[in-house]
Amino acid sequence: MEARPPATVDANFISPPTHSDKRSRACIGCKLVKTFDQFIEDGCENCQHLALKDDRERVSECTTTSYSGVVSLLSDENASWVGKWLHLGKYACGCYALQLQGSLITPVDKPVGRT
Amino acid sequence: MTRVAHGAFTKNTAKAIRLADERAEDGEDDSDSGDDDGRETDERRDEPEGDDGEDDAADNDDGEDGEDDGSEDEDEDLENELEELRGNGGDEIVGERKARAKRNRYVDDVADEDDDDEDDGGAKKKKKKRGVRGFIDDEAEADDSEEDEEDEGEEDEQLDDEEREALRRDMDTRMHARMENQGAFERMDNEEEIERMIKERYAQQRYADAGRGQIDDSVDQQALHPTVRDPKLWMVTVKLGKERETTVCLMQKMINLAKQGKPPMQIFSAVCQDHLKGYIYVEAHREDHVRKALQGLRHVYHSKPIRLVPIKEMVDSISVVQKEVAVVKVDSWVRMRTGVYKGDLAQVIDVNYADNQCTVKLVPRIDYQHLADKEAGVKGKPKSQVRPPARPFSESEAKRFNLPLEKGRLDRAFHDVVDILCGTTKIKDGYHLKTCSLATVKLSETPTLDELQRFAVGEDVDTEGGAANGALAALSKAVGARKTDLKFMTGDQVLIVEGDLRNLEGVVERVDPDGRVVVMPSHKELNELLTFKPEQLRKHFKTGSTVRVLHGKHEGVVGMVVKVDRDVAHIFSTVSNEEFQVFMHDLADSEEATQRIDTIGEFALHDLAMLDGNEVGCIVRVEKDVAFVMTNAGTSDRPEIKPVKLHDLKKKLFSRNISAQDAHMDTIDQGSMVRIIDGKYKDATGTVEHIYKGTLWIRARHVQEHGGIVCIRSRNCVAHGGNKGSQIGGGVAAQMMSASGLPPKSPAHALLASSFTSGLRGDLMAQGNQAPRAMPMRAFAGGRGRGRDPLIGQTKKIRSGVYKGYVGRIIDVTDSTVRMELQAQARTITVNREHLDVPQVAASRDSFLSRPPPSGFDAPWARTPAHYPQTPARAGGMTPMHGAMTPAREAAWNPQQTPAHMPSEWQPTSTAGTGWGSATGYTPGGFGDSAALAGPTPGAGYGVTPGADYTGATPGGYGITPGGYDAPRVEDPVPVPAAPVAAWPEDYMGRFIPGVVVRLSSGAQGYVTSVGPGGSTFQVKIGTVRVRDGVEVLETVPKTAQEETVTEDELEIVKPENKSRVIVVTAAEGANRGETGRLISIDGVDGVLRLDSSSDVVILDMACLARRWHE
Repeated sequence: MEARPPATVDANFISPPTHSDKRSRACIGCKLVKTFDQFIEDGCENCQHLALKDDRERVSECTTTSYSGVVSLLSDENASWVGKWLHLGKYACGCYALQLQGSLITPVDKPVGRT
Repeated sequence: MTRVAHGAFTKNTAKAIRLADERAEDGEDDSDSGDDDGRETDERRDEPEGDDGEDDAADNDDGEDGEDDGSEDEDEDLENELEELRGNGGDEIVGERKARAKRNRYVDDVADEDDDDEDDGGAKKKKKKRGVRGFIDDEAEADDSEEDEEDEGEEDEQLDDEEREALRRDMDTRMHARMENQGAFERMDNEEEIERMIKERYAQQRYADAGRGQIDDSVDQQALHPTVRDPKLWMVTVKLGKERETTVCLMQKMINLAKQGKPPMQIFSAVCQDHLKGYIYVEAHREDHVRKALQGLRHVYHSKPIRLVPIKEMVDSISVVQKEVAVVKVDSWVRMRTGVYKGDLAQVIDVNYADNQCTVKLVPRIDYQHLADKEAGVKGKPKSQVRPPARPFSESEAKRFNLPLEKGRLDRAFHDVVDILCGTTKIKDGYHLKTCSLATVKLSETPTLDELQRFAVGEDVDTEGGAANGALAALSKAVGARKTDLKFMTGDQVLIVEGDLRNLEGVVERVDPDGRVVVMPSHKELNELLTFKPEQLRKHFKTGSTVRVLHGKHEGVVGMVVKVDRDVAHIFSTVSNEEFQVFMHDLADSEEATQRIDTIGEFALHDLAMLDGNEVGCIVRVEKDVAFVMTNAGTSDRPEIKPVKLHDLKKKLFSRNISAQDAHMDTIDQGSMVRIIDGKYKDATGTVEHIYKGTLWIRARHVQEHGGIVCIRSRNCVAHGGNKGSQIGGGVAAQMMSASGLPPKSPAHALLASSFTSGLRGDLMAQGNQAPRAMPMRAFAGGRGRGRDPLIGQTKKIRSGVYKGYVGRIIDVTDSTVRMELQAQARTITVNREHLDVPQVAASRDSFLSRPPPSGFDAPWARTPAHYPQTPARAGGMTPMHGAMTPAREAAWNPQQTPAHMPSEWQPTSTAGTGWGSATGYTPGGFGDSAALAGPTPGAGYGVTPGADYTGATPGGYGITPGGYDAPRVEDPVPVPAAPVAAWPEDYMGRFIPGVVVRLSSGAQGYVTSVGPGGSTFQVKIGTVRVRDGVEVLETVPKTAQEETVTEDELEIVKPENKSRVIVVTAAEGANRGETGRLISIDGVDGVLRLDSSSDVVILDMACLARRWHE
């Protein structure tokens, strides 16, 4: 069990913010915390429907700097009680905000369906 | 807990059933899967209830938990899924199974889609299903969330035809997609590929969940409370400020471990709370898991214990208290936190939450000069330290500084036209539009009216009064946002401002608990109570009504409404005599018109209070928690008003027993009427409220400012009905008293004077007999009418008795006893007069008259020579007086007044003969004795010492002595530490008395040696001048120097330097004219000097002092 193919594991982690505090933002959709640049580069892994990737405007619209607390969700799914309690169980492992202010300003389009 | 258990059970059972069904119905014989399922079912039942979270149907469980069963589950789940897919791909699903599937969370979405296909009521059915599911397990959401998401919108409302149509279309596309998928599955021969696809699909699905609201939150959250099976929370001490970093590091570490293929950490999560400094929470089953995970982390204090968070506190520790944060919105009033505008009021005109920025409107503080310098490229010039004042932008000024101003540019952000100054500063309507971070502004409570007025100057810049009021009204509208917290009270007069009854007036009858206001209309035909919402009403005060201000700068002030401008009332305060404007809603009816805030602690309006240091002030205005004090540091023209808090008011002072001298050296007491003779209030009259060290606080009529209180030096006033020139009966005693600051108050003084002298005489004759001693005192005290015994306030030492050795301040005096406050002990005692010693007498001009004649008449003088007449003037006066006491002189004395004061008259007097100084012949035996004693202390010699001694010591000191008067001072061989200066003519009131260093109009410096009668001429001995510190200073006066005779116009007083010898040229409280001393320090306009006569330190106005020359 211990030795897993790294590739599999890797795919399920969202890189934590490379900078702490000031430049980091939280996705309003899923509370994922990353830096602005990371959001631009990868979008929000949880909220594909927000289509944040490569869209500065979307990123500044759909993420916020006014969040508080950070949870590093290290175990997938519901093994973590914290993840369960915060309803993060459905998201990938990564850093999340405990709480954030703000709401998605423009109504978010429904998911486009499967790709 | 039970619910969870039930959920687990249901789930497992359902799974078992489903698997059984599948096998039966599909008729497919998959032995492998069958075995697996069977095993799984068994195993599941054995599993602890709490662990069901780990076996999720979805994939991607990487097993970070490291528990074997978890990974096994995953494999099993995967196989189940594959099996199902295969089943679906091959066959049509039987209706029976579908029905069950509604309750079954392990049904895959394709199956559900079939459901939906069947009829339009699919959504409704699902709704029902959701209700049940909510009680089963939240994991189910992961399974069928996709369809939920799509149906979410429809869930809570009736479907109309349009929506149905849309749904149908949606279903069609799904159907189509499924067909495609099926095709794909068919093409897949490889199980791994299928596995990958499933993973992909579920991953996708999970992400797609993002942004979905948690519909069943309330129910779910209950079920989510931690159980003993859940991992525990551990509290880890980390470096302060590195909480977030550590948390993020743990995440990164996990990734790094995974990349390196190393076993993952056995922790489930790490949490940092912004408000919890120095700690993070780590979720793990065991403490050593935590320790292991934290290994190698920089900011963790590994040596500190890791604490377990009790299960009950787990929820609290990761919950964030949702603060009701007031949000900065467009139009809200904010204050700037930083920069040149710090503290300024601003109005938000645009907010961009995403960028955390807002644009505010400010009254500009533009440093035109600085901008111009910048434009000109001047480098290194620092910005002015002074904050530029807030003024509306002035185009002309910008032009004057040649600043580039781009006008009328359309700004995209504001969708408005703005002017741009110097390419950066956006100006609109005279305001500065500034875009700044939300963090640099803070919400302001409703600004006060005057602040709004200041803010509105930008708009009013070129409008007249009417328009300005319009702007105010607009402002009041802008402020109206807080109408909701308007408070109406029973009895308030209101005006209805909304609805059909607009402009109807009424009186508030009561306020209902729900906030509605019941109003009795003031209309003769309306007799019914009407109910209004608070926002429909406005307080309404008629002109002339007395109101109290409830909020703002003028809070607590009671005044009268003098004018009403829509929402703004003009109030005239009865306390401060000021008019100001307040919003109507900040007012309340003041029934107790007289009651107002005029006390602060024990201090009341117009009290005199001691502040820090040497400052004393009169409270001229009291506000909620601050008193405005007019201090003694100011003058009548420039009053210094200080706002002070209660704790800065040290103690209350009373002026009852304190007096001061006016310009004519008449006494001013509390309550005296005085006329101001100088400054901008010249000729104003008022009542003395307080006196402190020569400073008066006068309540002047016709003075508007500060409630009519004026702070002024006593010498700038004249007491009404002053005693100038009132030499009743020509009594020399009266004259003397007047000179020494004790104005004769009544003709009784003449009598008193004689009784006094006779008393003294009796004393002299009695020589130690105590009996008559009290007599002059009594006579004196009785004769004074008002005022106080001059002993009071003095500090004395007790010479004998129980309290021998104690020093205390005399607070009350009777004929035989005094009451004193001891310095060493906090108590007041009564002692006999004769127990008192006189170690030092405060520089009191009264000392001569007040002093209880000691038993040995001369002895005290000799011992404490300074106590006897301290000023030459008095000294001069004394001698003849004592002389006059001798019966032989009496007749000649009376008509002559005080010879000392009138040397000109005196000189021709034949009786003077050898001069007063040598007039020992008149002195009775007692005086003769004193001569010997006075010898060793020449400074104290004064008039009482026999002329022989005296003249030798200070020949020039006795102007009255014709012989001594002209005697050249230079011949004086004996150093005189405190020699009195030469006297001057009695009728000379000016400042150029002998000894004063003067500057002649020619520029030369010298000192006055004598004064002609009435100050007509002055003899000035010219010395040499040296420049010291840029100032010409008289350095030497040669003995043989010439004397010049000049007039007053040619003379100018030389301001004394620090530490120099000075002479008092204008009588002031604490020292008489002609007294000498040494300047200890100069404190602004005040000089601190030590008097030669008494060694007392007094503070005098520098204008009273002149440099003194002595050889």
